Amino acid sequence: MLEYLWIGILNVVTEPMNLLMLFLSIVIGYIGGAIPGLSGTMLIVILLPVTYSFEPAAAFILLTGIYSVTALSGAFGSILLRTPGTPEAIFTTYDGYPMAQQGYAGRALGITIISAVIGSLFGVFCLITLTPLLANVALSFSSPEYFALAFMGLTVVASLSGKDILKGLIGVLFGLMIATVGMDALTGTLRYTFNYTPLTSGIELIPVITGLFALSEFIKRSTESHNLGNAIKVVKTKLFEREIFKKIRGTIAGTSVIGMFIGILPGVGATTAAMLAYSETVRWSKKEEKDTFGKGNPKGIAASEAASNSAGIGTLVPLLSLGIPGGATAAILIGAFILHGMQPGPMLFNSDPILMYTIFAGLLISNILMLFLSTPFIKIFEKIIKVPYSVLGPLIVVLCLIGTYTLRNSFFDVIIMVIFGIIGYLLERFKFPLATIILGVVLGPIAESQFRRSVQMSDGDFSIFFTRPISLTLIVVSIIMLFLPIIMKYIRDRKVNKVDNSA
Amino acid sequence: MKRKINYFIVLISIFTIFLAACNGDSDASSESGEASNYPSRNIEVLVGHGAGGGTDLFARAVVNELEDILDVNINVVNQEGGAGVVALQNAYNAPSDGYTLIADAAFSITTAAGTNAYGLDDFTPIARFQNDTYALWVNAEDFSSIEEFIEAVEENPGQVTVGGTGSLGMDEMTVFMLEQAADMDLNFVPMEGAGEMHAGVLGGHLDAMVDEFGPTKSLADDGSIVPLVVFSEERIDEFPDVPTTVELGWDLTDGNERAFYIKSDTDPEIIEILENAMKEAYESEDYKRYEEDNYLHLRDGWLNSADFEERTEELIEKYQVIMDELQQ
Repeated sequence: MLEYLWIGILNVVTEPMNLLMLFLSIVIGYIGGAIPGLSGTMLIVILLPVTYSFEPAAAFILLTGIYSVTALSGAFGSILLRTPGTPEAIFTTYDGYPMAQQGYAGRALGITIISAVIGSLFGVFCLITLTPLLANVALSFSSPEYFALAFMGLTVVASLSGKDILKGLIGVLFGLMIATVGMDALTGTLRYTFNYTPLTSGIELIPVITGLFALSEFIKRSTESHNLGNAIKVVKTKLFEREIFKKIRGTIAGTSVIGMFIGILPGVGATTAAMLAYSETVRWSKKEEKDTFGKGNPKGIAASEAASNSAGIGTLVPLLSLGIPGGATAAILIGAFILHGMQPGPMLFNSDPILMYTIFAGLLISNILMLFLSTPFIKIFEKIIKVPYSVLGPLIVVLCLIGTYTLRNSFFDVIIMVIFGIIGYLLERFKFPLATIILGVVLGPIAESQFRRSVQMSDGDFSIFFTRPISLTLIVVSIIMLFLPIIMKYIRDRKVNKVDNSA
Repeated sequence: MKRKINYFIVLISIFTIFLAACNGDSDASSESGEASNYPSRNIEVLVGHGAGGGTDLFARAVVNELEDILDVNINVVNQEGGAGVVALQNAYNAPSDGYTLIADAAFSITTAAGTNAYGLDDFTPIARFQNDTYALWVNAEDFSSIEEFIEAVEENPGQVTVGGTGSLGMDEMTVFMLEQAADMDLNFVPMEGAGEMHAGVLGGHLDAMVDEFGPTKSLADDGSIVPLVVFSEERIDEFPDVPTTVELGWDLTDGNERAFYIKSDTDPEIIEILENAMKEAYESEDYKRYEEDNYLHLRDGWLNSADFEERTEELIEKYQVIMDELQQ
């Protein structure tokens, strides 16, 4: 294995074409991912025909490289413009954007890159050494486990809703409601479509995110005064600060593992990984620290980025070992393999191990290079903050419109985005935690369809959730964690009472 | 100096992206689509299914050849939604000038189900390329023959789970038709996508699944999943021991039929030009290689416009009956 990896590394480094592709993937990935709406998925679709004439190794170094880099660069828009470039970067917005608004854009970008690269490298390490084992773990998951996982995710609503739990619950329910629109995944019944064809395929996540976060921010800022004196003062920071790193290293380690674990499951994806990692980080943080999340806590950025990048690599595990894509982009990578005359899966590992290890080596090297090549991009991107909003704002709107349109080449999505922009603006005025809506939109379809699929599998028997060990554990743990704060409070109150009584 | 280099890197990369994104949108002359000089500008192929899926790959493989044959740029545009209906609707709203084509695999199904409002009066097939072959797949550790499977179904009626992708689509109809033809009582479980379905069978969460030979190739070569019965008239060279539905006396050979469509009121001469070009693409070496690599050559796929129109009519009628029963 090590031998193959060594050959792979040599293949990447000594072949000029491969090296060029590696470099290109980083540059294209950095810029492309940062442009809202131009996601990694889309970049790969666009570049796929270009790679037809390449050698497979060069083609896949380029494609997987872009895949890996955009998992990171999607966060640039989140931090600087509150406009996530990719859906999984939405959770970087919560702390990244406030931090940038306080003048620490460089610091936020630095945290993003270091966390993302560590998450990715951890992912690549697992991919190289643990693939067969992880593939088996992934296979032990089926509908009941996916439901339990989504259930666990939904129970964190309390930690995401800040002080007002009621509003948080309303937000989740609103998100869940949005998720029911469209063709029902199990029976094909149309729900809330009003005989309008575009609604049959449901409301996509990206227009909702872009509207709720990016466009609503534009509306809000448009109502504020715009004299240049109000411009944000950029605080000069070093890109990689030892102090900050010390603070976030535990978070990075923990969330990288969560990300990897979620990433290998074919039924979820990097967005869910980032969400669970973020909310678990909030849930397990110290009480006095909880309030700082959403206001620029470096741990929030680190959690989201480490998890989504490690999950991104994680989706390659079932793809390469079983031919099963773990997410939308992975599905397109399968298409790329097929168009190059190969079928990813167990056979490819045996028939062409050198290509596999060249791809691994490419991922490894590109992540390390990313760290060093990031400086010029950060230096330039962080200046975006200084551009007056009267110039930047309209530009963001144009990017949002184009980005949403190109998602499915559908004007309907653009309308949805604008509607959610207005909804987002109104909800924020009432101090509504927007994060909880996203929680519902992302986890709703998983929870609902997997619940019903499980019941269908067991032919109507609900015990399927409690007879399978993984599903049972996940459900029990989430129920305990849901009630733990209440129980703890009760116990503490009783102790206080006792002390009072005895006194 | 260093700063200049930084800007330079960023500039170059923006430029690269634009180059890639534009990918040949250069000659946008807007002449009317007269047959004599057709095609004189870029053609768009709308794919109503996601990038990377069977229909998308089919469209891209054909477009790759068509571009050379017609000497024009052809852009594949994915417009996912409603099993292809969204793309059909958008194509319907475009002018009938021959510059908007549709690649679809579910036309007869969506029409039969009533989700597609446009029938053969609105769209005409240009050519059918593929008549894909289904099989019933199981985990190699669970069953070794169709007899064993039938026995298990008889012992546990309605309990044996068979996965397929999506609901009210070709997979669900196939399982339904299998139940009727073979008089079996199965439990169909609609899965989110092929990935989840394959994982379900590999992990032992599903007893069986219906799928085609292309997407299962790697797992089948590896021996972890095996086909029990092929839904076709003749046995397949690669799996000589696997019986066919026809051998077992089951009248069930349907599969996904991938074809190109165009608006019916397009100039017939343009349709003919496209049909001829597609015939050439179908016979090209590269396309044949792609077919063989993905087990798409198991049945002859080619049907010209008139023949496939006739077949589609029959299929719509047939599927309408099944859909009515399914939707009850």
